[in-house]
Amino acid sequence: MIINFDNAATTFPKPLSVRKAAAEALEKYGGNAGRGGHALAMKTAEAVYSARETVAEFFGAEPENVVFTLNCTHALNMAIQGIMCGGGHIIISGLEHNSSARPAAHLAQKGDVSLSVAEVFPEKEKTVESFRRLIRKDTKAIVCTLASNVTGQLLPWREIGKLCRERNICFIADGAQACGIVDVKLGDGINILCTAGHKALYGTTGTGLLITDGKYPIEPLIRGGTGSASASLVQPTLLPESLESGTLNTSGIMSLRAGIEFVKKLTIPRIAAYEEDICRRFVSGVSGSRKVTVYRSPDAEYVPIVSFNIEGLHPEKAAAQLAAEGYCLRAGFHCAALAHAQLGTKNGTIRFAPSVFSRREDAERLAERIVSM
Amino acid sequence: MKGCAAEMPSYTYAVKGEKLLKARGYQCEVQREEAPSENGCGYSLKIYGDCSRAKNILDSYAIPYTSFVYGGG
Repeated sequence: MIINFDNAATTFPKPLSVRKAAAEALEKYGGNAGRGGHALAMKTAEAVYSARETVAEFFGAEPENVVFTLNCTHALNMAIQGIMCGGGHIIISGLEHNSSARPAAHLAQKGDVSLSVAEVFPEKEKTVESFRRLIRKDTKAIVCTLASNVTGQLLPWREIGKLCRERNICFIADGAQACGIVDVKLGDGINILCTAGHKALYGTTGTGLLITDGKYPIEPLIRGGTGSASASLVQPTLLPESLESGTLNTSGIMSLRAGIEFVKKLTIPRIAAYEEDICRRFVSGVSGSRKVTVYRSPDAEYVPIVSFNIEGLHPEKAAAQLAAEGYCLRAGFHCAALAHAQLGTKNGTIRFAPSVFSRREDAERLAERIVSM
Repeated sequence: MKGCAAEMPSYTYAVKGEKLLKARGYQCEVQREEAPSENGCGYSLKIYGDCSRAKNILDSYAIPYTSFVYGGG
């Protein structure tokens, strides 16, 4: 039996409506969206546009500013490299996933940009001040995750968005762990929102989103066929096609639309409350053991993710023991080197991440098992 | 019925224009451009009704088009 608490990596199971939408796309939307005028191509293009509308409405954007990507890493690379291509200074938070940290560090190592890392504190004000102190005259972009993929800590992104607006700095937000759990809108000060489609938005793997307010033009990372102005060797500049070269993942996009509809139907507050209740029960269960360290602070807010360690047991070993009993938890660094440097977790952590399909009793039973280890 | 056609720079804007005009009572449809400009293949928005007003609507919502041709339909 599989009991999945690794939903921060990708949610599983997927809702029935999502599975049906993906299967239906393979049966009905077999054309290439935006290429050709025959019935199959046009029907597919209409379905893709409809998905753009769903995403746009959900995040408070315009449909043409919704770019379908392969995943959040793809979107973040497009945003960071597309905004910073002319050089300048970039600030990232100390809790960034490697999907932001590595492209930013790569540009800095090449000497194309200068990079600063803002320390994150449990207290919102201290974190905002940390970003504020690093801003320079040539600061072009701030990249900040909305919620840490290691600890689940929510960052003060609305306040950072305000800071960016005041200083005319492009705010690139990583919503991978927050979208679907927290109500995120571009109107909250985010200029470019990057997120995964396959986590709390419940789409299939191979889906991601870049959503922009259009204020800061993004230089394409990939150029190629867009289905428009095809006689020209120059990449079109209009969104979304300028950033969507190549054939789209139609079945993935249809699954993502169904996933967002699923979240809308359940509502974000209900989903968040349910999953947070599961986390509370889990934390309460493991708190009985002196050997277990939970990386949560009473001064911070969290999305439903809990990182922990068991004294005297390497996280990978602990996760392997649990895996042998059917529990799926991820151990290690969770692709977030900076976060572990800040947490001081030299071997990484074990991460507990429920979804809306997780059961309270499974979380309680797992906590009991961890205490007994 | 009077008609006109806007050559659109992308499928996305063609559909956005179509939805905008349909919401204002226009009959219109997105078609593959049969005689594309020198830029190459693309889509056009066929519009039936008061074309001057339709053009103003597209302009006021900043819907880009590469050309707007009166007649036909």
